[in-house]
Amino acid sequence: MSAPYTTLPEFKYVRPKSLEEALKLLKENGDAAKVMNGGVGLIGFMRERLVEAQYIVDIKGIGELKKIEYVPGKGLLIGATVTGNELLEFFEKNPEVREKFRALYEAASHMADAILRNRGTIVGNILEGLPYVDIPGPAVLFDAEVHAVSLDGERWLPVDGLVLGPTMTQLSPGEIVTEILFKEPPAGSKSTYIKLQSRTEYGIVNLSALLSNAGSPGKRDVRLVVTAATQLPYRAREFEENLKKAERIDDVLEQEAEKLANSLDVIEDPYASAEFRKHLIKVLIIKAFKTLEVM
Amino acid sequence: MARTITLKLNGRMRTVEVEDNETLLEVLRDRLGEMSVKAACWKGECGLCTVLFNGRPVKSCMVLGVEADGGEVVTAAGISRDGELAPVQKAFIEHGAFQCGFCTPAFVVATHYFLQKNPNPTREEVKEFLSGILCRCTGYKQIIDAVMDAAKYYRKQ
Ligand SMILES: Cc1cc2nc3c(=O)[nH]c(=O)nc-3n(C[C@H](O)[C@H](O)[C@H](O)COP(=O)(O)OP(=O)(O)OC[C@H]3O[C@@H](n4cnc5c(N)ncnc54)[C@H](O)[C@@H]3O)c2cc1C
Ligand code: FES
Ligand code: FES
Repeated sequence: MSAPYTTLPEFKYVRPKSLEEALKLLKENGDAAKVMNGGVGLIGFMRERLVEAQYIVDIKGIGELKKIEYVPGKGLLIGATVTGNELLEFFEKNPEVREKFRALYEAASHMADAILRNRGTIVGNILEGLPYVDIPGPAVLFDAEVHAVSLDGERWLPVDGLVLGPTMTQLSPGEIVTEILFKEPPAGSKSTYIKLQSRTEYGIVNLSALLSNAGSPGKRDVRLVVTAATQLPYRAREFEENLKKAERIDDVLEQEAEKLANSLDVIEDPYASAEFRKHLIKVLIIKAFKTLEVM
Repeated sequence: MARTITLKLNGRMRTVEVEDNETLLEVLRDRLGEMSVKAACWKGECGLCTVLFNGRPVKSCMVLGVEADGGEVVTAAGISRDGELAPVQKAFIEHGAFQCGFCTPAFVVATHYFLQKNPNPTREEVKEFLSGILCRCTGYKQIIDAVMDAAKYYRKQ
């Protein structure tokens, strides 16, 4: 699976200073132009000749895309060019926000490595569309939406359903994601991210889980997202409903975890068999909710 | 497309012609003769091409050369001052933190940055920070020992 090339194919590099200018370039060049953010994904894809482009539109020169803002009651807004390390630095300075979005914090701490996190962005990580990346899990957990802007208009798209496959998304060629909103979680909720790795930086099973009001069935919120084991992020809605309804979580946790694991269409590859992944999903779900119950 | 860029490399202004599709790694080695920067996997995994770019460590095989226009790059060859090795370089020698030495420039430039930011690290923090750079000889123990030892000099600075 090693890269057959060291060099990149030819392209023209452009670094617009304003969003307007970038959108114009994308509109004029259609599919021949590709947005470059941190480039960690894109440069790799181009080197392996999986993505072709005549124009590389680097959005890192657009100042307004570099912002992080927590709006109480609304959520955490992260600009498109914010890197993994910049988010971690923000969380270090804002521990209350970090605890609200704990699963995102834990996932960002596991995104690639400390050096690549100086380039790789939170938004780019999602749009890369690979099954085993870390940010889509917490993004779906916190009902995140991306703000997609083009010369023809703007729209907010939920991250759940945004990605179709590697480098393939619901975005159209003229659109740039300017920011992502991780929505405010329920008051008093706890969340966590579990990444199980096997010899590479990437996980073979990643889970994002959230729990609030564990003791009161009527008011309880339960959320669970499976990534890395499945091709696309999987929000386990039926599992969530069954746990919400239960008198006590512990009464149904094991049985529901097993039911979910068996119902999923999971990846089989040299790192882990499908059967092993299903086993891990089950035991890690139990671990995640046992941890959240006592947090 | 070819264009001329200007960057500060190890404290000196350099002007160089680059192609848009050249990575910073190629520009540093092939155009600027900066051989302390090593090339190995070309996919962001080994970390041997690590340099400081505008103040932060990056893997230069995953950065375009044109992006360095107007910017600053520091390599392992640029962290010594007036011919005196940086404390982390001395510590690597004292601890024998290399065998073939191919990974050493990446480790010293990255840890020189890390210790300035965090001069009181735990072993775990050092391991976590260095997880993106591979060494195929030492088994890492001596490298981590050297970084822990060098930390005292960065606390004094
Ligand atoms: C060796 C290695 C190990 C890694 N390990 C991990 C890991 O453990 N966990 C993990 O999560 N990830 C891992 N990664 C992946 C890495 O984290 C992602 O590649 C990175 O976060 C992508 O972000 P970027 O800003 O570099 O995106 P880019 O590479 O710039 O872009 C990725 C894709 O998204 C599109 N895009 C980006 N931003 C926008 C935008 N604003 N609007 C429209 N389109 C856009 C680009 O056109 C491109 O198709 C690893 C990568 C490498 C090379
Ligand atoms: S050559 Fe750049 S990371 Fe290996
Ligand atoms: S000393 Fe040989 S690779 Fe590290």
